[in-house]
Amino acid sequence: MRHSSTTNKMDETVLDEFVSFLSQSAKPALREKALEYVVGLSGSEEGLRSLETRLPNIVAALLELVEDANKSFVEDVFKALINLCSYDKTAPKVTEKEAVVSKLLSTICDSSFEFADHSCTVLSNLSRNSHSCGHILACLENQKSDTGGTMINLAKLVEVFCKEGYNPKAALHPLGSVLANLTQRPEARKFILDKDQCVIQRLLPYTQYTASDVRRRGVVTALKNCCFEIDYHEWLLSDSVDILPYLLLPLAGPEQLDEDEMEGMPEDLQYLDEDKEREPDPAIRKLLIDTLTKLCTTKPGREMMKAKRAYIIMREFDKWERNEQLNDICQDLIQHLIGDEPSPGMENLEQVEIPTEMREKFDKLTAENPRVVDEDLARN
Amino acid sequence: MTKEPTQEEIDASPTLSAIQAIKYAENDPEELALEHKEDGNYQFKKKMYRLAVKAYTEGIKQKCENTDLNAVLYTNRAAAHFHLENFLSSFNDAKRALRFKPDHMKAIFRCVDCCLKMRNYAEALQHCDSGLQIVPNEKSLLEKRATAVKQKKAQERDARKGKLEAKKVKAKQEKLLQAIKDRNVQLRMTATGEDNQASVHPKKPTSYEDLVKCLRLDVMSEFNVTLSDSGALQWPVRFLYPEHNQSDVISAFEENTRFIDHFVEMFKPGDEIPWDKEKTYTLDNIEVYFEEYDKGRLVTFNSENTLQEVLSDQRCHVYHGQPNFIVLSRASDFRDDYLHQYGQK
Repeated sequence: MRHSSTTNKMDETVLDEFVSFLSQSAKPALREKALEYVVGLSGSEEGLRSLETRLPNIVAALLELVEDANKSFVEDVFKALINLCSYDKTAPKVTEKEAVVSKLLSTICDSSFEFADHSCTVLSNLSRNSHSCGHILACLENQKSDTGGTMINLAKLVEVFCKEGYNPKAALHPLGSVLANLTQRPEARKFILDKDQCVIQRLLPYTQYTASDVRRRGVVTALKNCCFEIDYHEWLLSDSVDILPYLLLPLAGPEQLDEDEMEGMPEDLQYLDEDKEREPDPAIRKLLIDTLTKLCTTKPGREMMKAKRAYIIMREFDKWERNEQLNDICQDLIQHLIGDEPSPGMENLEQVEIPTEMREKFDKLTAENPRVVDEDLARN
Repeated sequence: MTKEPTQEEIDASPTLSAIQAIKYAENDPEELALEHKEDGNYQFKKKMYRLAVKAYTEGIKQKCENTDLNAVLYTNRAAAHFHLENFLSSFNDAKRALRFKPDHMKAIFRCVDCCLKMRNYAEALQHCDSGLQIVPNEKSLLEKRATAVKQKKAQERDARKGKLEAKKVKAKQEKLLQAIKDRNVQLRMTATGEDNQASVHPKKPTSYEDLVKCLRLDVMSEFNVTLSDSGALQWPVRFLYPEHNQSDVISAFEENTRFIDHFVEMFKPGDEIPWDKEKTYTLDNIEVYFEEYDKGRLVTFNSENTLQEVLSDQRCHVYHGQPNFIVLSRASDFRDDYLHQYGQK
């Protein structure tokens, strides 16, 4: 016991010394050695634990190095950052530092920053934790134009995300994961769902974005999270947003439908090509079905989906789908789309009283909370 | 080269200040541009859009350095063009205005309206979005954007529908061409020589394009060969009566029916044929021929034959998708004379 405690103490001193070398003023050789050490530690759970108390400071120090001229050095800095920020336990402590979040945001929005995608991934890892999301959103709220450059708020992030070719060196797909994670918080959802602005409308086309599944998953997750705002369902399904075809199109296949089956269907879903492909990622297909099911919560929602013949698309999808879990949730959705309406007073499925013991049982079956992007982008 | 005089020097010298006054009064491009703009606005208000375009053009020609003024000149000319329904010119002007002043909302609106008029919805959306970045809750832009999205979807749907229909038509045509090929029917069409003049020698169509042209499948007509659901060809068949310069067309002669089956209907005893005053064209008297073009001969055949049997005779050529047959009457002197012309008896 005594022996181990001595080594621990020695490690601690070494560690402190190494961290002090992670600065612009340190000699390049020392700096690189220190970085190598941190990258090594950040690759394992145990290593991360050993860094725990210093982690926020290390992240802050590393972020000061991302503009270094030595590209391979910056590559390694981000390797460490991505790993360190995937450690959920310290994420809130890291995001508490406004300088860290601001730096990440400004590098993401810098249209000439080569490592902007890496910054997105760091922020995406940090934002998996709801508490950290709160910090990040607060920081986005507090960004004032007095920082010199343009104001970076949530609107700016959406603009950067949606502007094709914004940064010629970075596609910014992982920013989709950031947006997805942020929408686990109601304040982010309220912004995406602002009826006086055009935010969600600009995200919708990305449910069909074949070039990146990270971007697709991010957007679909954000949409699903937004559908937790039941009061917005009617607006989402109305002509102002017209969310339905964007959710159904990735699930629609090449099957040639009869003219009368297409009658009333959104135009986007009519006369699809014979080589139309479905969403290849089962996880995204699940998210899409979950979102559609969520939109069946209220009676007007169900009625609008019935009128637009969502059933036909889901029927064909169910025939095609080979994943049994997805067949199950698809069939539940179909029940909402063709089933009889519940008796008066029970129309809002969210408000139906469920006996406690039943609820517990259901909760066990379906853990349904606004979700985050599960990908583990860390540990490389 | 002498130095440019300073303001003090100008003020001190009556000559210099006089020169400066002249220059600014008559030659200052900005002043002139402004005048042309006022003129243009006046014409615009009177709905004299052509004159307005002219005036704004003069203003633009001044190439003054005031970017705001240039933006306004282009935006206003865009408006005049829009009223003249020159949507492309209007669009180009509005885009030029944006080069001078990227956040000029009026020019952005004009771009959106022009794109909507020209059914270029993708670009309309881009301009809506750039406008919404400047004024995020601009109501009319939000509405126009929704319209653009909606119309774009309809346009894309129609394009998909059209593509699918064209594909179906092509598949149907290919099936038809295959059926004709299987039966070894001899198709012929007029060949055009290098001078674009019709050649005397007809050619055998081989390419898909020629086949479509030869069978006149590119022109929608009720007199085209078709393939029935049961897989039988139906030809538009023409009977010629050279004696009377008359002809009959059976628009869908099913290949498995015999000639006699049609003749029974066409020459029904008791029915009067208006041009057959002598009543020589009866079931018993008529003879049917096809022309063997290469040899310039008429070939007769038994009317108990089906159309398919006759068309499979390699001497029988089908010109431009329509089989032709000549009908003569044994009871008429014309028959012998006519056959004689062909060097036949």
